[in-house]
Amino acid sequence: MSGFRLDEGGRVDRAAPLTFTFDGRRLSGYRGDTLASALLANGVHLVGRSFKYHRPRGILAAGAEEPNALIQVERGGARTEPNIRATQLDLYDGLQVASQNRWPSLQRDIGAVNDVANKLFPSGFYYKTFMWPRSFWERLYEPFIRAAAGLGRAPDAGDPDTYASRYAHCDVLVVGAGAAGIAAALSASATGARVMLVDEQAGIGGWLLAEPSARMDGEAPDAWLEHARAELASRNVVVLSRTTAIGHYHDNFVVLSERLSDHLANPGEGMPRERLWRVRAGQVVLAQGALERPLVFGGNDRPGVMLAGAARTYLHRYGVRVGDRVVVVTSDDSAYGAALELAATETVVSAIIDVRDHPPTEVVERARHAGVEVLAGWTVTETQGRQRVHLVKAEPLAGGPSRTFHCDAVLMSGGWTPSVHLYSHARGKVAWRDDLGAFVPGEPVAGVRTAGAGNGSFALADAVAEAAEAGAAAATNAGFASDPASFAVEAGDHAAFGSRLVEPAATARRGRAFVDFQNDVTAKDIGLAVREGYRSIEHVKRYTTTGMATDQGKTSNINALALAAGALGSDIPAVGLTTFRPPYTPTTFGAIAGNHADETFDVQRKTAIDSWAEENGAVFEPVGQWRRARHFPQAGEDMDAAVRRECRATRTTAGMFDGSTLGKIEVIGPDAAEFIHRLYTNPILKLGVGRCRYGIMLGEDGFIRDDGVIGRLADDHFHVTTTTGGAASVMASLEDYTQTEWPDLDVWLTSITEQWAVIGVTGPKAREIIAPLIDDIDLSPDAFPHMSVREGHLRGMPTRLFRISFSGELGFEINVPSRFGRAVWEAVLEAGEPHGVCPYGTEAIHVLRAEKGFIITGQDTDGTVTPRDAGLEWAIGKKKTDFVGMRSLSRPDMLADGRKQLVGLLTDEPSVVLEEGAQIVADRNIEPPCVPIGHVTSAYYSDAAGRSIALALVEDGRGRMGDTLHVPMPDRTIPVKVTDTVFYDPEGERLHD
Amino acid sequence: MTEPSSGFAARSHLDGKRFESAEAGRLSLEPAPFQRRYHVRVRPGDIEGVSAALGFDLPTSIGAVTTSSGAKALCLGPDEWFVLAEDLLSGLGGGDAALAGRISWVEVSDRDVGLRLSGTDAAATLAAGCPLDLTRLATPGCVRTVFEGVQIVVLKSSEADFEVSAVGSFAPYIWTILERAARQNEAVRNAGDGD
Amino acid sequence: MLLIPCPYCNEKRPEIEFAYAGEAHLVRPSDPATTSDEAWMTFLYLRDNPRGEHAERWRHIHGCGRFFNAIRDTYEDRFITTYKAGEPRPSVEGDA
Repeated sequence: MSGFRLDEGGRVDRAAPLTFTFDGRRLSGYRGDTLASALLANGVHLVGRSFKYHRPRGILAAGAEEPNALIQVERGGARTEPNIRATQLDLYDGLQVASQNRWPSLQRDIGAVNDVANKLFPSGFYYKTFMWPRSFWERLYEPFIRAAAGLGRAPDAGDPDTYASRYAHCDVLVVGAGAAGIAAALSASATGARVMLVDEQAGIGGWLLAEPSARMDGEAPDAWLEHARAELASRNVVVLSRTTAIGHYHDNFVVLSERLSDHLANPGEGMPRERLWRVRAGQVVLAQGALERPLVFGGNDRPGVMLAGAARTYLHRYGVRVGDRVVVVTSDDSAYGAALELAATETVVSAIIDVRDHPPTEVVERARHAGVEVLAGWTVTETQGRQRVHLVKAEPLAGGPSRTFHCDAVLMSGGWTPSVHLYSHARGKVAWRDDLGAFVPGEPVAGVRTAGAGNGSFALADAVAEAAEAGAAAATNAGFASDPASFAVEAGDHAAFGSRLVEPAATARRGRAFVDFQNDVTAKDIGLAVREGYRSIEHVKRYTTTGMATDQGKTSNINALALAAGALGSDIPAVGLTTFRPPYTPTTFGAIAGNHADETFDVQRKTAIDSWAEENGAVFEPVGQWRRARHFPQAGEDMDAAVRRECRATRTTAGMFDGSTLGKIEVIGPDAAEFIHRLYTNPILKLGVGRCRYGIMLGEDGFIRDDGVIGRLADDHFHVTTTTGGAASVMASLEDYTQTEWPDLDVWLTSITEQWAVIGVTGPKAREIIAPLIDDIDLSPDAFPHMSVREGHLRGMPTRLFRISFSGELGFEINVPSRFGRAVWEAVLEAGEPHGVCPYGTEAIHVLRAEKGFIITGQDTDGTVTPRDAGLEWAIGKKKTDFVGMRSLSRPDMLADGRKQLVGLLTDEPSVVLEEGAQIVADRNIEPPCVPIGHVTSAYYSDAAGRSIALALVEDGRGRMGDTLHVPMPDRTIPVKVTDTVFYDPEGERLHD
Repeated sequence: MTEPSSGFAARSHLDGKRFESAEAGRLSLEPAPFQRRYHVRVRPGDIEGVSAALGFDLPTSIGAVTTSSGAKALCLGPDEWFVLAEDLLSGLGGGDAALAGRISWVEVSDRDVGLRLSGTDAAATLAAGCPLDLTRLATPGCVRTVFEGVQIVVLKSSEADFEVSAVGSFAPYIWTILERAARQNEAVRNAGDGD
Repeated sequence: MLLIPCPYCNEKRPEIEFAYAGEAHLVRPSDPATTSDEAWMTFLYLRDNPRGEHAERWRHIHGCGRFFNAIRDTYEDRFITTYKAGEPRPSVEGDA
């Protein structure tokens, strides 16, 4: 093991060495390491190249805020994932990772030429630099930019992993399991409230893990955490680690993303990779902690330059020294702790450069006593080193001779930013605290409390007391009266926090001083944006892209804001913060998709007869959520041939189809007839028992919404069908009218769509085929005429038998209880086989109905079509004074000339089938832009007509009978003749046999 | 309507499905046997009168479940019930002059399919897609809600016994999510032992 | 995801159980045939679009099935109160 790992200390297991590879190089670490801590233990700081300038970049932080150390994780095949933060990736044996955004290698990267040419890429460069000459954009600039854009490499195959998803409910959710969060959870759980405690890190403890000298109830952090863990477990507190609260939504709906297997070398069989928790919490305590800010000075992005707090975390949590010789540059007391603790190891601390003129005397004295030089009122102006810092230059802020220091690491601290992300998601309004140089939660949000460093209470004792108070108050509010637990807290040796924000403009004196590391935004870029006229911080953000990378500006927002405020001559609270939006950290699509993946991506509904269709070679098509058999090709047949055969058989002998998907509603009650009469255009009151009527339903706007068959089973009892796609919306609309418009009508509705399987038998032989099966219904034409319904039995099975037709042939629709649907289907098929019955699918249904000019709502209508437009005026009850939508039919627009009307179209060439949706023009010679006068709604080859047929909506269509119109297509313009909509058996003789 | 006697074979959307957790008692997931299901609607002001005329007790508060004549009546809405019975409840809702015009009693036995979950993990498994806190539901109790976009009715008989009813063509989707969740929960629990 | 108080179930239920159903307290003219084109057009198409309190119809479609009315703050996306269909619009805090 290298010399950067201490012999003892930290929470890594030195008895469990692990090997991993980084860019193919074999390295070792320990169980308990993150990739970042293991790399640092191996002396590796250079881990990637930056997005825009391809500058060498190292590890900046130790947690979720890391902007630089993004790596590609390789787990074989499609299990490759870019942009994983090395600081959050738990090491496992055999882990393979690669650096990103470099070619051919991390050390020698061609793209680094961008850095030399950096003047070409100022903020907003994509709006300016590549504009001229114009013709270069498509051929040169765009392909180049596309090739260069993006970080890492996306997998090129489907995600082989599964993701779990669940809801959860608790009385109190505590986000963040540092000392504060634990104190809150212990206080909240004391009196029986259901509590959840979640943390994004691998275990509980948070910052306490980097404060070994702190004491909680007299115990060292490790021992206290052990006791706390046991206590929480005994109270059934759900403790989730590696779990990020990614969003805080209305009414304390908090979404958590739990990483289940990325830290395991060999996840078990069936192990989901992540689990999304959709938590509804009564009360929420946010104890998210704080994130350290970088200082903005020239060369602050060089590998080896990192946050001081991160260096402490690596030292105490992982037993890793981040360098042999370090320089500390700070505006906050806390960095002195990092300096002195490192100085207590083999590491030499060359100097503490404090940008404050008057840092607290006690803090300074302590450093000097330890033999560390302190330069107050100085700043670093420049760093040097090709792939890692080896020298810094510093100078007094007030001016004066500079000094240089050799080093292999620079620790910086610009103070701490409370994490107010979730509070902001929950619509909390942050407030500026000048004494902290930070925004903190302002007015409380109902049901949400903030505590600890995330609330601006940085001192351990303050944070713990505040959080205990918040936890108890949350439990009390949730109905479990509780008092705050009390803890004896002794801060660690170097726990001092204290800073004001130092103007980044003061330290960004020379060179390129980075604000947003991930998006390569410098202090100068922010200034340029303001000089170019951007005033709103939201605009400065978007123009410079600061804060818009995958880290969402966790380390950069305040510095960028301070720079913008300075350039605008305003102050920070006046400029305001950009909006925080979920997710807190990047979240996999797998976790977000959750249950909606693979075969449950969406519901696929199948009828009771679907299995027969599948076994008999059906080709299916989706119709809404249903899958329906489209046609049943026989050997050697394509769809056209199959559909022609199915249509011909139906017109010459008989066909049968599965009509089960049609919506069905049972309407019962003394006012059932009156209700249906008001909802449909047709007259219903006098419909006889046992009779059916075709019905059209309009919206109040007069446009066709749905159609179906209304069958009267008894005076107060109807069986109403709807289209397949309209079933749910028609049901909802009917319920609306019964509940809210006409609650005085006594009528009740029940959806019976799937109670009944529907087997349609249609064609000249239909009666002969079903007759032997029907027990007790007289099928003779006189006893059971077209548009009738009977209840009876089919070989003992209850059935509702309709005599109706959508094909223009003699037709029956047999309704039987769904669970017997397939068995009855097979019985009908068997009975029909001697007659040559032919199963047909939806495509043949469409052709057969189009031959008769029957519309499909939603295909031949589009929400702007009235019954008159569709040629269905005959279906409007002439004596009716009102029905839904009737009044709209006499509005001036509805009566005006020029409305589109449904007509038939015949192509001059009988074999040419038009494209559905194709536009229609009157004059083939007009120049574009030509105004279409209509469009094709249905088009098929008709076996019965021996030619192609089409339906279309055409302006004043019925006034153009016999006219020739034109359908322009990409390769030619097709002449068509306007005709009636009925192409077969116009007198309807075949229906009444 | 009488039961068919013709010997037609019945099929269900969940034929052949079954899941048992490796550890006994945690979860048993199975299709409910065929039951008689009725969708019942009565005017809110007439519930007691109709109950008396029916000789069948319709509960009056949403979420309540009563057992009467060997059938369970689940109150889904102020004027809406779902009745589950082992056997055909013939005669109810039809024919009786005293009930004429006062009730809608529609058999939906073939419309809906039931899934039963029993065991200590039953509620946690349902939580894969059910947004409600079922531990807070009364016993017995019922609720109509939505499971990953699909409407369901949950009947809770005990803390470890739930029956989910859904329209048949949605049942395989619900089943697949529940079974996947059950397997995932098992895998996570197994991994937890070694972590 | 909001919790919406259902006035029939008497409890707060998750938003995904509900469906929005447009502006509340629009009354269908009792005799459409004698309603003027202007009045009918208003009934069909003219809707309020306030920033703030808005009376809306919602349906607990995946719950008790009832339509009900709500006063919702459209700016904060917050339900101020809900009430049964047929009841008058209640006055709520903040009303003039």
